[in-house]
Amino acid sequence: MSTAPGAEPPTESLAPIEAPIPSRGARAAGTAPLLELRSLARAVRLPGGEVLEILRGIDLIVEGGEHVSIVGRSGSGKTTLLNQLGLIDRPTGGTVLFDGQDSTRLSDRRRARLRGESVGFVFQQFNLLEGRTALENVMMPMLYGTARQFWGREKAAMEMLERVGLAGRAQSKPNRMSGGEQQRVAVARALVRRPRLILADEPTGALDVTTGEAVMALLDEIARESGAALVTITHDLQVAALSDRSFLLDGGVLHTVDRDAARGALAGTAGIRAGRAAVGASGDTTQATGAAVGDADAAARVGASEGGAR
Amino acid sequence: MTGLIASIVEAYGELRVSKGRILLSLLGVAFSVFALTTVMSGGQMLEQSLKQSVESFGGRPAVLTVQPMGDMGADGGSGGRATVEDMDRAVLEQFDQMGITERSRDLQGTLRVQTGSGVVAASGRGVDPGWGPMHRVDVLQGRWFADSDEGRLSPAIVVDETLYEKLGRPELGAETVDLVADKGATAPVVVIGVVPANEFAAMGMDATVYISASAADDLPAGSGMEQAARQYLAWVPEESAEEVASQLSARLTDAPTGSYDAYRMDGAGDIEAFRYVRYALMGVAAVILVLGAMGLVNIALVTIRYRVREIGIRRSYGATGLRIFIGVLMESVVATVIAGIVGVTAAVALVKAPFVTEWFHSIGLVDVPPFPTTAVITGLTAATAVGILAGALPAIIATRIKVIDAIRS
Repeated sequence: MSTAPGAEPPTESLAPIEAPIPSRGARAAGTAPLLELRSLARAVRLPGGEVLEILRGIDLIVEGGEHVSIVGRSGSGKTTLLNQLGLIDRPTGGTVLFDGQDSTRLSDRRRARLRGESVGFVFQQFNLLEGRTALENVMMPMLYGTARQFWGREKAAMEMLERVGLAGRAQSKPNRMSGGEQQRVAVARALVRRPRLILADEPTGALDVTTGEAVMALLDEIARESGAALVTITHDLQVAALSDRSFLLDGGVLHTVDRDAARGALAGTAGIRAGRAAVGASGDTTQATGAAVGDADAAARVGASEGGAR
Repeated sequence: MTGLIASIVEAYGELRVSKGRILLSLLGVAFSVFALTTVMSGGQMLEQSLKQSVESFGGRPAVLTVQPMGDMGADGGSGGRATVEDMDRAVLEQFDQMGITERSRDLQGTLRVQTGSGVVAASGRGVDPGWGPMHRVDVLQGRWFADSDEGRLSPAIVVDETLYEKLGRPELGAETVDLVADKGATAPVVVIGVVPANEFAAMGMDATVYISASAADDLPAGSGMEQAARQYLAWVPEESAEEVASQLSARLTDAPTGSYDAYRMDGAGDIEAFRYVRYALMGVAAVILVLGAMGLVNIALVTIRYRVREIGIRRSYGATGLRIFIGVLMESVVATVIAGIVGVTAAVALVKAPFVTEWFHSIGLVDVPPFPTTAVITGLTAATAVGILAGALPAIIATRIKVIDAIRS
């Protein structure tokens, strides 16, 4: 499931979809979607005065409870888009509506509160706080919650650690835990405040294939249980395949991907993945992973082409 | 409120994780708070003790002494010299005219007291009731003189606790003891109060007897008080002491009983001089505190650079800029308050240590006052202030960290 460093999905054959990309999630009539991007743009001014457009004209609707994945090569603007979805950064154009509320008009303080209440982050490098136990890491977001969440933080954190199967490691510090365990702690931390939107930035990027699959399955399962929307940003089409909808971010523009076609193409990679796992066990992972990504990219090309025609 | 508690919890967590670094950075603060509190408390206690000693000897600020000039002395009513009644009248009339109500005659001589083990020589002090408050007399048992004691058949006396023991602890206000005069004459007196053994004991005098000035004048010949040095004390507001003294001197220059000199005798000037020494020492301690704070700021600024990612993570989980500011500030404040408590505790332990108390006694201070609360408050306030000052700059820097850059770092 992991990609080798430098391996990028080729996107030349993907045709951009100009129309707004709709959601497949169910929503009661008359209610606003959980998250809606309208003509979102993000540009930065370079030291020479030149303006670099990182994101352009992005329209996206994410409904509560659905799982959306966004794939793209390095530098395509994936993390910038994630920061927009997570209310960390402000756009230079367009709007980000959260529950129908234009978050771009909110003060930094209110955005921070909304982010803390409604968004949970899972990072590629786990980003656990050093020197703190797993329990303390999971309790951390509750420090910024309501009085009830603050005073009940230990109980809630323990429940979440139990849910990710790490109750027995509650007092362990990150440097004593495996990568998979650390990412499970990160998942527990992301979910402890019961967010309505979970943003996962390359959640399996630092894990081996098997562990990555397990973590992703756990994340998907817990998100579905809690009814939260899950937006995964990844290089990995195997990870993207777990989602309800997939998008390709290329050149700052978001394209839809036909999931069924991509999934069909990906089915042919199963044998290679098994072989990769075997090679991984012998220590030569780079070559095998590269082979797997090659097939996944092919699947993406097929899916994107078909999706573009949809 | 919960936000503040959460900030403290957060700060404490950070301190716990980085206790080695914190401990090193706080050594300077703890030491300077210790120095500040020790100097302040020790100085205050010493000043208080000195004040007690000085005031018990020379009176409280501002006590003016009116003393006859030259060889003009009372002769007890014989010959051509002024009688004690004339002298009293001359001075006390001026006191009345100037509205001085807090006043006392002050006769200093010797008395002999009959005890069970023989006659004991004592320092004799003939005073009026006003003398007691003027000199902060601390009555351990019984009471000090009152106006009603004038004219008693058996005059009232107040003795120090050493003499009281030698007298066999007679019943106060009831049992009589004898003052011994020449040719076997005695004067029965009643002990009405007991005061602590004073500095005279340390100066080689066995005991002190206070007696009403009027009664002292009426004692039999050879009692030891007829040749007593006579002076008058006036307790006046400190701000007008000099003016009152000069007026009294002027009014009494050509009194019928001779000239008198009025001057200030209390030891306020000595205490003032000591206070400046204390301020200088506190200044040194404050400089140490500032140096400690600068060290703390230095370490805090370096530390914040290592915490960029952590702060970014906290921001991504909903920590507002204000919470980050308070959190970083709290870390500094909680740490310095802990250092302050350590410093103050060490200062209390030192100042109240038995060898220090013994030293206080060895320099002649009878009552060592309790550890001053103001020193504790000042020490803790200084520690908190250092925490706020040292934490503010890193806290401002922490709030300016960009979340995106922090997470990517």
